[in-house]
Amino acid sequence: MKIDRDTLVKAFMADSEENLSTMEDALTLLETYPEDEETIRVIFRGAHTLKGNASLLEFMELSELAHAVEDVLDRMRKQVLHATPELISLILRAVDLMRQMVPTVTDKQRQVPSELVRLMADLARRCSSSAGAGPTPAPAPDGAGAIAKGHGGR
Amino acid sequence: MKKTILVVDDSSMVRALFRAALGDVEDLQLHQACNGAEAFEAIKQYGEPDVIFIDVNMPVMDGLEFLALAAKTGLQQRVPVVIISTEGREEDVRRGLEAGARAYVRKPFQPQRLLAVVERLTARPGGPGNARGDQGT
Repeated sequence: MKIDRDTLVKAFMADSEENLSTMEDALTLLETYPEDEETIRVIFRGAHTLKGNASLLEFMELSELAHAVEDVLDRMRKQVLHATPELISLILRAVDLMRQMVPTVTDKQRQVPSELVRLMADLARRCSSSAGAGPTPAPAPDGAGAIAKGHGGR
Repeated sequence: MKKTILVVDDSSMVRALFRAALGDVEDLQLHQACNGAEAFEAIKQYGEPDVIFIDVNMPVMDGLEFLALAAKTGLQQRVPVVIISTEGREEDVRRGLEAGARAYVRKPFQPQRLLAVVERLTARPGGPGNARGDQGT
């Protein structure tokens, strides 16, 4: 069974742009309404879809970054973490980086951006600091090392 | 007679992957929807498919909500539903199967996997059997 990768890449690009724009708009809205559950769900779904799409093209660095964002959003959904301006700014940085990474999907020589490691560590730290702090105990964070381990399938 | 597949996912890329994997298969017809509510609309429009593949995390109506409604309406008893999800933890799979899914295929998956699941779930009684609990890759 031969799958036309170009078709999938085109769909990936279009889907990613739509998801990233939706996430960006929702994050802006979250600055005004930091407790709005539906807005948090919208951002979570965007990260979740990006994670899955990137994994389908074996773009694991992007998938892991989206996964790290999803983990933070999951804790926000469960009200373990709160949408502070600083946390929103961190997620916006991740959205910016994902937007930069998306076009490199077809680049066989692509390098792992140095910013990626820092961001993954920052995101993991937020999850780590929230572990056991809220109404729902959070699982242990993956940490930045997850980039090298590949997709964990969660 | 053609078998009909309904794929329900808010990711246009996943739908494109299904089209690429199953779109040209002889005796298969593929319909698509972006969420559970659209899936019910598609079923109204095209009739009940032979197999439904559905994502879990979607806006409007997610995969588990779809399964709950499909159980109430009896659809679940007539049409096998397969969850396609990036969530592969044991509790996710259990939740999906308990909600009535006949199989659970984790993303990323090999396109060939989809056809194998369709063949198993549409096999005649006495054939290879169904794929309940299948946690394919």
